[in-house]
Amino acid sequence: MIKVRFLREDKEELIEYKEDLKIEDILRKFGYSSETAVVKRNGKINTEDENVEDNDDILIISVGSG
Amino acid sequence: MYCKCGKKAIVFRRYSGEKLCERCFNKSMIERVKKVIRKYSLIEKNDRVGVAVSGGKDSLVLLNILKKLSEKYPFDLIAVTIDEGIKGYRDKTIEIVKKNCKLLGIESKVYSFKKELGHSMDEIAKRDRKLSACSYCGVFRRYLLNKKTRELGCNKIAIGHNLDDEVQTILMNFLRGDLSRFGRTGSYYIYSNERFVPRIKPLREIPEKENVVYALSNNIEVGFSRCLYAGEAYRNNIREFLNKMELEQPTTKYSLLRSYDKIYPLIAKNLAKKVKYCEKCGEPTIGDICKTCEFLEKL
Ligand SMILES: [Zn+2]
Ligand SMILES: [Zn+2]
Repeated sequence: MIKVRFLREDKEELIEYKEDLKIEDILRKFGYSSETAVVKRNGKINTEDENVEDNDDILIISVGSG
Repeated sequence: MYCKCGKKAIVFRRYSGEKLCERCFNKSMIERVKKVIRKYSLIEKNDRVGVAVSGGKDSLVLLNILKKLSEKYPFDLIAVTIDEGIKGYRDKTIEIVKKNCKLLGIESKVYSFKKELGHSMDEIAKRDRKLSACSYCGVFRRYLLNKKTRELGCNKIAIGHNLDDEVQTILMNFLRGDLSRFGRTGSYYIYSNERFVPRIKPLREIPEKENVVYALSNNIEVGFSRCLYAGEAYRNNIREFLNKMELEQPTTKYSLLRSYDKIYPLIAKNLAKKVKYCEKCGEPTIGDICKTCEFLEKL
C-alpha cells in the first residue's frame, strides 16, 4: 500500500501499489497535475515522472494561491 | 531524471526542458530574480524596500531571496504586513511572518484594518454590501501598504506576485475589457507621484509551483492555509484554464507574459493618468476622492 497525504487539505488516503505506478498517475487520480502540485516522496521533493515503490509515503502539496 | 550536474533532479521545467537538482534549482531561482531586478532596474543602490509580507509562500520566498541579495548589494529591507482582521487565518500567518523576520534579522511592521481604518474584514464580511469582501480587502490593503511604507521611508514596495498571478490578471483584464487595470500588471511602474510608492514584482517570472519548491527546499516556514473569504470564482476558472493549456503547451504562461510585456511599453504612457490627492485623506488617487474613502463612507 502507498500512503498519500495532502498537506493543505489535512487528509490522508491509502492506495493500492501497482507496478510502474508513477507520481503523475497518483496526482491525476486525485485531480492534480504537475502544474498544480508539488510532491514529496518519503520526505524528498520529486519530479512527477518517477515510479513509486510499495510502502512509499507520498505528500501532495497543492500549489494553490497565497 | 538527472540534472546536468549529475545529481538527481527535483524540478523539471517543462517550459524550458531544464532538469534541476536542489542546488542548481536554488541557484537558478536567485539568478532569475536578480535578472528581472536588473532588466527593469527594480531596485537601485541605497533603496529602502518595504516588502509586503502576508505569510504565504510567495511573499516569504520573496523576503528570503531579497535578504540574500541585500547582503551583496546595498539596499535596505523592512517587512510590512497588513492585518485584515480575519480570525483563524491572518492571526496565524502573522505569527509565521514574525518567526521568519526574526530568523532573517529583518524588522517587521504590522498594520491592521481595524486600527487604521476602523473595520476588520470579519466585520465587513458580515455587513450588507454591494461588492465582494475581496474588493474591500484589495482596495484597503493597497491603500495601507502605500501609506505605511511611505511613512516608513521606503521608496519601493516589493510584492510577491508570481508568474501565475500575473498571467491570470492579464487574461482577466483582457477578457473583461478592463484596460484601466492594465497598467497594474506591468513589468515596471508607470505612476510616479511623491506620495505614491512604486510597486515592484521581482517574482513575476517565477511560476507559482517553483515558489513552493523553493520554500520547501529551503525549509522556509510558510502559511499554507487559505483565506476564508477567497471567493474569486472568475480567477479560479482562469487559473484552471491556464493550467490546462500549460499542460498541453508548456510555454503558454510565458508566451502570454511576453506578449503583454511587448504591448506594455506602447500603452504605458497613455495609461499613466494624472495622479491627484484625495480631498478627504490626502492620499494619491486618480479621482477626487480615493477608493478607500469612498468605500469607508458606504460602510
Ligand atoms: Zn545540478
Ligand atoms: Zn482618501
